[in-house]
Amino acid sequence: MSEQIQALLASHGGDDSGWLGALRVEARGHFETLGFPTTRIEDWKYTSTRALREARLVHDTSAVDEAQAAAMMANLELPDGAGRLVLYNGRLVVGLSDVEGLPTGVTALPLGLAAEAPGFREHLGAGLQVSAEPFTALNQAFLQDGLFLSIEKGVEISGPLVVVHLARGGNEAILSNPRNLVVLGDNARASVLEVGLGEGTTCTNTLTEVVLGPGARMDHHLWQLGGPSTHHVGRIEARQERDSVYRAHTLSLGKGWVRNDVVVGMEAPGAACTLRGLTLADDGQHVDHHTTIHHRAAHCTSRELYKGVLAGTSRGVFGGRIVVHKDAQRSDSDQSNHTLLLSEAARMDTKPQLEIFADDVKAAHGTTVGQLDGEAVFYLRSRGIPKAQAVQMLAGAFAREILDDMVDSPVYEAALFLVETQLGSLYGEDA
Amino acid sequence: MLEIENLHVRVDETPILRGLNLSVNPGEVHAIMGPNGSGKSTLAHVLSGRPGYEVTDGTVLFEGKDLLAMEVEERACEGVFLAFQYPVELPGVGNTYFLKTALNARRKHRGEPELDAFDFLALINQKMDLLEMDASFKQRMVNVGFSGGEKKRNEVLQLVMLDPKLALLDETDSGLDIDALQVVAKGVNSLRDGNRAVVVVTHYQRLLDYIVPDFVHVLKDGQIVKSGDKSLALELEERGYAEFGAA
Repeated sequence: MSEQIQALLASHGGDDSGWLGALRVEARGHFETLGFPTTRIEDWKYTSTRALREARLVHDTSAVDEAQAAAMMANLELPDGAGRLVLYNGRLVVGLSDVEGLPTGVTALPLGLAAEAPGFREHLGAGLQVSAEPFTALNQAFLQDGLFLSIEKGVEISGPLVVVHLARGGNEAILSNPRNLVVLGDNARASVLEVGLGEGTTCTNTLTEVVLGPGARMDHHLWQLGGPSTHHVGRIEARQERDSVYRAHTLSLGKGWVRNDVVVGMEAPGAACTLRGLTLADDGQHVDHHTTIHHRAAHCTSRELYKGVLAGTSRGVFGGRIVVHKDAQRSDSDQSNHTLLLSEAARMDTKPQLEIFADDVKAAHGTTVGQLDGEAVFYLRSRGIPKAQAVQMLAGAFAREILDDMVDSPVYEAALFLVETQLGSLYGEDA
Repeated sequence: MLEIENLHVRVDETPILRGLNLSVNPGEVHAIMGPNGSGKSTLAHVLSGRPGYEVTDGTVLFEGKDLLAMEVEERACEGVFLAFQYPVELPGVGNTYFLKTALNARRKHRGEPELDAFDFLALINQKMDLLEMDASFKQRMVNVGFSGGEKKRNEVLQLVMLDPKLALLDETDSGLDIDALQVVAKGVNSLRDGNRAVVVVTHYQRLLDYIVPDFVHVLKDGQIVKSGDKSLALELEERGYAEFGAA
């Protein structure tokens, strides 16, 4: 174990009593063994964690600075939500959080207060590979706060529950490990929006577990808006029962380093998932989307669309693994990854990976990496539109497709605004 | 308005225009005719600033300014409009948004305030009525899934919306049936007010029945070899370009 990891793990500062403490102790052991992944591991071939290893990250144990947290959120336009939880360097900001007043049948609690809540212990960490996944082990080693959302059978919440992850590095590089658990009973419906904001040198290692009962439906929105020295590791582990629907839209629009993993297990017939992601990146950025979808039962459907617009020296990575297990007949999967490179120096590595062990299966996939159509740019310019604006219009048209299946969502307007703003700042006239 | 002197243009090292001279005054309509490969479209493209054309000699003045020194968008904002022979499809870009952005780019260039939504809507509705276009065109993506005729009509919609001083029509008649041709001509003719000028590049005389030119020029091997009035177009229609040494 390296000195750096030793120092990092020693900074946890919490007490390790109770069953949560036992989970932390066990996970610390796993992370000591695993360490940060290197590019020798296939899944991390194109994404280096070197900056994280060299940053000498520590866990922030100082008192939560509510004023600072409020200041960081000041310019954030959030949609009206059913409730809000704000975490600052992984810890709850009580003054900015409000998860009261939800309908009967809904339990929404800060994770730190959820230890005895019904359903929490049963589901937390079930199905995770703590001994094999380095960032899962790291998250669990610091398991402290986040959202526990549990919705009883048949109950629906209208607005999204919003979780804001604020990360702020100062003299030290700060690691935070937010953890969310969402459990939806039969036919329950919910939408969760996670927003990540960061400044200074930080690493936010979020892990969200989703458990969907039969017929349940969840819309999951992830907006990553970190600053230039931020690192964001986001992992979703979703398990779906019969006829449930899981949809995730990941918008990586920040200026930092991002690694996303979405792992979905469709465990019973009739389940459906849609994973969509958008990367808008410029100089120095690195955004990696990895997805794994397990078709473990018959008649399940998966749809994936990931798009990226890469400018400057930015790099994008997509790894899309689809596993159709032996008994998953009549599986239907469709995966697309399309990237627009706006500069010679931008780079995209994309890797679809289909593993099919059933024989009656529909599995389509398509990948393109290309440049803007010069004719289209000329056409717009010939109508008086300045070149930078023409590029922005065409990149925007390409990018907005990611949002076209969520126009009815209460978060759509805010998402579109973010995408447009980011397109303007990255590729527009003033960029 | 437009003064072209001794224009030489190469494409991929091949000379296409070889000393072209043309003078267009406000209010005039000029037709450029000629056999395939004579350089008609090259003339339209080089005036609009399309990349890939190398001007090796000559000058082009637009209202006294050096047109060739201007960026593509600058030419448009100064009042030059090219109706494309092959309009480009822009998936994800709405027709209304496109037109509004283009119109406001021009207004900004002139130091005018942006058009508000109501004034814009009134303007586009009026122009679409003129061109007998269905209101659904406003919601559609620029040229995506349009038929050949619809694309040309959409070009003319842009033309009348952007209200240029000089309109260049590059084979706008190709692929149009007679009804569409009449509508397109109506749009172009609506611009004829004694101040604006139109240069029509065409292979056939047909369009000139509807957009009646003041001058007809025959382009051959990159030069204007004959000029005349509208009767020259009829003559060409009858006798072909044979007397100029081409089929």
